[in-house]
Amino acid sequence: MIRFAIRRLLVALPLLFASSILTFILVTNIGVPKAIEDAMAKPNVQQAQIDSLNRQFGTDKPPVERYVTWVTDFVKGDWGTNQNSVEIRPLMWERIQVTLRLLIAASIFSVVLGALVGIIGAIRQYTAFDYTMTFLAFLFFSIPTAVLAGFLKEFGAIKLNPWLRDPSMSIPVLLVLLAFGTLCGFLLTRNRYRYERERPLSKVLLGAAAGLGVAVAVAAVFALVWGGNTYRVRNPKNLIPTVGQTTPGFEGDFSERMQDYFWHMLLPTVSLVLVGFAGYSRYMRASMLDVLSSDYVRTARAKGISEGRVTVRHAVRNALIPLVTVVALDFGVLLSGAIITETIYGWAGMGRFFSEALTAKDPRSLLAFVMVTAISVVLFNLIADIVYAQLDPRIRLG
Amino acid sequence: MRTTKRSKFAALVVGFALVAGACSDDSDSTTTTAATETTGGGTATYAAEQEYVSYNNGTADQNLFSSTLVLNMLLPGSFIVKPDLSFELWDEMMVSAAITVDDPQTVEYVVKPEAVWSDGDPIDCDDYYMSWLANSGKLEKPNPDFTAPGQLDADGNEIPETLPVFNTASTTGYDSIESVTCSDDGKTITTVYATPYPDWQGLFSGLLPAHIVENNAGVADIVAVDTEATSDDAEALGEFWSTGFIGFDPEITISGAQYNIDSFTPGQDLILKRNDAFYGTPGTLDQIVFLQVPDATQQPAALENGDVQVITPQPNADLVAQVEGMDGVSFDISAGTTWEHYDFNQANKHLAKLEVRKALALCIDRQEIVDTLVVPINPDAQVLNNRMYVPESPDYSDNSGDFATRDVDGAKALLESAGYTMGDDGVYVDADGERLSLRLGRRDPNPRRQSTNELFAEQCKEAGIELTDDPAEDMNAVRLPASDYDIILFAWVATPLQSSNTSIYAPGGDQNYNGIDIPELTGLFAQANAEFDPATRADLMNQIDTVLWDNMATLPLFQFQNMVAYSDTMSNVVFNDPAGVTWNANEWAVAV
Repeated sequence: MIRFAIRRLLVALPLLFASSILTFILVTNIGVPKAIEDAMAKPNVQQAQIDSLNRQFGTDKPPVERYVTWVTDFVKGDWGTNQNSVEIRPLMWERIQVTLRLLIAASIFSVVLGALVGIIGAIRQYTAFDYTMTFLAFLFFSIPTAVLAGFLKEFGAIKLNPWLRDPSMSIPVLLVLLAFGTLCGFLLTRNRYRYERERPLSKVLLGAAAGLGVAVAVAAVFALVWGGNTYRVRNPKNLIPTVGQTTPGFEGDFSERMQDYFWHMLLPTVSLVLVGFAGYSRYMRASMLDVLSSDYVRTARAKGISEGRVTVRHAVRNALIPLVTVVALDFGVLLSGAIITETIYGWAGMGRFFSEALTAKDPRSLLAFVMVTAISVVLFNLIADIVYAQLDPRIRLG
Repeated sequence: MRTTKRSKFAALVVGFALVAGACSDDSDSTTTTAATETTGGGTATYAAEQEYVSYNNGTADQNLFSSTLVLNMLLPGSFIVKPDLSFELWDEMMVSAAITVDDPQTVEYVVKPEAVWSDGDPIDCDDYYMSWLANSGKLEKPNPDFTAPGQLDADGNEIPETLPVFNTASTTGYDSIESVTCSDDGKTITTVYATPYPDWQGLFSGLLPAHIVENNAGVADIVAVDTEATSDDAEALGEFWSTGFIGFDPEITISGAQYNIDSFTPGQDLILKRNDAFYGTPGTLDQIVFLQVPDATQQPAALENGDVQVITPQPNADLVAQVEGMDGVSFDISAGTTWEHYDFNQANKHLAKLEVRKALALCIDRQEIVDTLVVPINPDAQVLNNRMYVPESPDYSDNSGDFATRDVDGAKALLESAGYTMGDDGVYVDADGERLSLRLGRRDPNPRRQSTNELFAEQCKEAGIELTDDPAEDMNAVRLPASDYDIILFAWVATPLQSSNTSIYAPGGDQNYNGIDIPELTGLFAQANAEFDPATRADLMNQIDTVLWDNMATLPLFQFQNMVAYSDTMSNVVFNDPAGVTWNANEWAVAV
């Protein structure tokens, strides 16, 4: 396996080299950097300023020379400075951390939620739950991030915050919530096939109890969060912000800082999870259905193994294999950030780094960005292959 | 068939989240802010589209408006620019600043004795001296890339033999100064000009702390540094001045005004706190936060949600409607200093003829263009009829004369008097049989400019002139300086510095891309650029504008609109296009 990894990495080198050349050609052809363009639009601009900007961006040299200089410096670890004369390498490291903070949580939630919904959807195929989730998956998958963000900001922050300042729930709303919870529980405990007519009362009660339980749990969490919470006292106005990574200048103890992170992450994470889970749930559902109808699952059932054991040990484990590939590839491009989400919610991650570099048409930032993401994609592809082999004994690396 | 308990729970949580989201809609508890009384203290957050980069905005590479917004509250200066583009003595720090001798022009600045930087060092002559030393552009050092004379770089420009020691963005004005002398323990500064510079009030604002540069460059006394010949000391100072001020360092980026940078988190926020060492009237707010909201379309939501209290997005009709519908939010829309105009390239055979240029100015309906494109944003928007002043300035006058209103018949008559005859396809042809067809250059993509060109083409079609849209991505950066266009639509920024118009309109000026060659203007500009009396000077500038109207050199259209929206809890928020909305942030107040 180590030999396999080394070989794959060696193959990746010419690939990275080629991608750097391709990127360089693209970057040199997107036009002069915006700073130079802006300078020329000013009345009374001096040639010395344009010259200085050209030197800063390196655009005073012929392309081949520029590429060679850039590659040698890049390999040595000198990534140069960006459009604002800021060192690219430390800046990028900061941006990577921000992106990871946002995206790792969102990705994990998406995968777990997507897998769960996919598995249940497959087991309870063509039930109300399955139809609802299929509908939602397609809805969130096709809705543009900016539109989704608009809804989330309007109903998850602007309209919700005044209520959160003094949360109270009228009896009718509480009853509706309770009824909805009961309905959910009831639908989930429904029988799989229409011909299974009998529906034991215990199942219905179980569903209703689950609904009640969740309602009580939500109320308890609210009580805990609002009962003398120092974080809320410090931020009385808008608990859920629509922009930013943290409250500017916020200083508090560990739990307060964690809450500050949490509330700032809330909307962008929900936004990313809704879109992400939709895709994963479809993969998982399809793969699970495939496995459930396979011969070995039937054999397992015929041998008298309990349904739970069949589902978990025999079906789910195998159905996970295709999802692992997709997830590994998605984690590879994680470093490139979420351009739209980061911009809309005002997070300074890799996506913003890229969009800023592209707006400024800064050659060095763009090249550094492409190289870092390319290396990450290569690495995660390798990891995907190795994990794949571990999950599926039929595949051998060598 | 059974399901696991865990999956039930997960599904229920999802269900609840949806219900919770839906019912939040009917919350009706709109808290009314009873107290609109403003007291000192508090925090205001401004949504910054771009972030602060450098403490030294005078460098060629770090010169950014987003830094200006922060530095307004940090760097002391002799004058401030008011929203009407006039200068006002910054009397927090200055006792006086005035011309004491007309010839040679001598300006004397007197700084208050109590004026100090936040580290206790006095604000005085060495800071003025450094401004001059750095921005005069006289000191040069060898260019390492230079090998032989006449060698060209990738763009075909000659590689210079020397580089500036101080990488300054502009030497305008400072290069006219011959000497800066200190007296009265450094609190009186006398500047003598080699050539007159009537825009002198624009100099020596945004002063940087010279002692910081001295300490970091290891130079004992900057005033002793020769301004004519490059010394090791000058190179050390130039190196730190050009590169040492990037970012935030509490030891370096100190304050000489009302606020001090307290913290800077790149990509997120910058926090200003009141400068306790400030010698004048302290700022009202305890704290001003610059929160980065890079997507301007998200700024209204952030304002409505209370994440920020002041936003200045580029307005469009949708944005205005959105902000109008918000509770607890006020907004102002005003015409700015950036103005759109058509330029006629006189290298073009048709446009070389005065009659053709005049016919174009007569067949265009500028009022319709403004009504279509600008009035939806600002109902008070008007056609711009002056190239030197915007209507907000007291010196503005409508010099458009006959070109104030549309006259299609007049345009046709002019073309016929120039020997054009109407062709079969409804387009005039000249004596050589060439059709009067011109390209309207503009930068692509830009929907507003596209619409402007479409309207212009439609309007002049009636006068027998064919105009076609000519969009190009590199229009402003490459084709404009190369004069590679027939007619071009772009914008200039009006500044309080009237001398900056010289390079655009005077014969042979660096930015005279149109080949405007009116000998009369050489004299008029020379006269205006040596005139110290503001009223006489404004007369001269308006005279120049009238000459340009008579010659139909360029055609001004309208100003871009600016918007500031702020929470009703805020007071004293006033937009200022040249200086930025934070120009008076020390007076901002928030109702507590």
